[in-house]
Amino acid sequence: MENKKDFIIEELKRQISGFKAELKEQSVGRVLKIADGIALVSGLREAMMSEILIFKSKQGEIAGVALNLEDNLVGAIILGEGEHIKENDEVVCTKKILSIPVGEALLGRVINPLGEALDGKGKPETKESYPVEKIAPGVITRESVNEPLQTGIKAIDAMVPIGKGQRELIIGDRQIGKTAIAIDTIMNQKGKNVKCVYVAIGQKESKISTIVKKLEAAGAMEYTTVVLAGASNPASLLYIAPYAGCAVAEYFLAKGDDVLIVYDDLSKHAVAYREISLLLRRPPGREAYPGDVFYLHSRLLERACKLNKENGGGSITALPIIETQAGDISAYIPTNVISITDGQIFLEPDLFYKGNRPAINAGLSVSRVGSSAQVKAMKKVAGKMRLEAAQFRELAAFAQFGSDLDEETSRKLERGKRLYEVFKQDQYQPLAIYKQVLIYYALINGFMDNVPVERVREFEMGLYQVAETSGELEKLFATKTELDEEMETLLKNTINNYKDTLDYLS
Amino acid sequence: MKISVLQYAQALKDLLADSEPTAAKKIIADFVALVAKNNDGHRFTEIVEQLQADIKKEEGELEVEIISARKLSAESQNIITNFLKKQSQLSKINIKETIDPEILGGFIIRYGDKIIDGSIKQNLINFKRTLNN
Repeated sequence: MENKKDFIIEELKRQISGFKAELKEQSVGRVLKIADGIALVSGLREAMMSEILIFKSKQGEIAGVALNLEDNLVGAIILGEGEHIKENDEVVCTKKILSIPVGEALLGRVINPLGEALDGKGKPETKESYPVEKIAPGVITRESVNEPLQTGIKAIDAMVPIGKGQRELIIGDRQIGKTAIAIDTIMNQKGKNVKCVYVAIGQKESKISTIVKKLEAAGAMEYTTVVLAGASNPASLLYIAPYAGCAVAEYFLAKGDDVLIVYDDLSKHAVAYREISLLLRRPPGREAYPGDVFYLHSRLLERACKLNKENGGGSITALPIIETQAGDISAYIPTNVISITDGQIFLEPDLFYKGNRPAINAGLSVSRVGSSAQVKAMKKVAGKMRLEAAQFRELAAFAQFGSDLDEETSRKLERGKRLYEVFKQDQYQPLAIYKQVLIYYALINGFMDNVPVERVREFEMGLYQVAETSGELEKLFATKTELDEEMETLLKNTINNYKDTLDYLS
Repeated sequence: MKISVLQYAQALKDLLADSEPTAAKKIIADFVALVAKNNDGHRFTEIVEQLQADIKKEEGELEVEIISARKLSAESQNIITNFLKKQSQLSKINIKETIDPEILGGFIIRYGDKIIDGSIKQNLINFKRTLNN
């Protein structure tokens, strides 16, 4: 007890000695108008773009950010509770650009876009802070994407592989598993030395609480930070949330780490920015979005990068999510973000309701850089799978009308049915890469042709169990990723040995 | 292009300085006509205020408001006046004193759109922030 007391006194002494009373000249303005989280402030001729302004209300100080700099007038967004601010209240410049505290202490925490804890575990012990808005790394510091980032989802790792430093869009209607893909990917980074940041923009807090619990249960919160701007937060917080999340990721990037960042979702971010822009009386354009809505997302996603060795060799992989309305990917925001990212994973309601989950449309989903970063063995077994999967769906639609098909077509159909069966995967069950290679190897080499379609999943689970118990494949994959003779023999033996134990095969 | 209040005031001041005193009437009439033509009539008060401030500055005067919790002693006033003279390079400082017990102690100096806040109240707020960190 005595010791504890001493500690508190020492801590207080330290803090008190750290305080310096100082006098400095500050620019001051007055609130002309305040409404809907937006304030018009007179004066402040020295204010900088995205500088923090302090509103001095009767109930205490409230922070804001300067967005519109005009002649003798500043338009600012208010971060936090704006209802106490009154007309004619004083506003002072701080000469500080908006920034967020960053550090290792943020791992495992849920914070708001200003870096304040939302999980009731106290203030995170951080030493540094990074600016929320930052120019993306330039050409000289980058290198091309060359390392795979495993999502643990069979269909994605095979057909639309993602590399470290890539920006892959996840797009689809509401409620068809967009977030699920992102969460599975975060879970799959366990033990792979990848830090994760999940930015929730305008999400229901109940949903985030479920996600955090799931991540905790999977042991994934240890390397994950959740940045939350919920549906009830003002538009200003929603607007800065993805940039704040990116600043958290950039701290780890600077240390040479690999980071995965998920923006869930950017359509709500665009809507929040539209609200702010319209209230600031910026002219509306298509779908009432302001003219710089493209720049809004391009400057954010450009901060995803793979740095070369001289610059630490870290990477930020971005998985932005876009919610479409009734599958319309030609709306304004979806087309913008599609053109910014290096490919997209397109989720389709039809597939989802047929029970193909994750409901990835093989034809419309692409990865523009990922295949150069795919694991070599996977590249070999899954090379033409995307094409085959897309062709199967067309063939299946066509074959509905006739029963007599030539041998080639019916063989393709049978293979396709099994392929789609293999693509199915439960939520929160990311799969190790060696298991993925094993099942695809079995499929494309015809080992599964005599397995009835309805028993494919049962066969799959059994096969994984056999591979897991022997452990040989896992060991081999740890040393090399190429599909050479040694690996091929091992794959074949594992499959054949397992098949010998099954009684339902003819 | 939109003309700012600052620019209007500057232009009028320069015109008046460059011309004969007898032409002043015509210049002002022309200026008012121009402002009206640009649909900036509603900013006229601001322009006049800006002009007055500019002229005062030119003549070496500075309007200062000092807010304190109690009446300042002549000595403290002197120190502040000398500080402001040095800071602003102006010869005459017009001080308006205001008493506001709410700031607890110390003083706040206000001139133009600048503020120097040395009140006990503000220092306590800053101190609280340090402790929270």
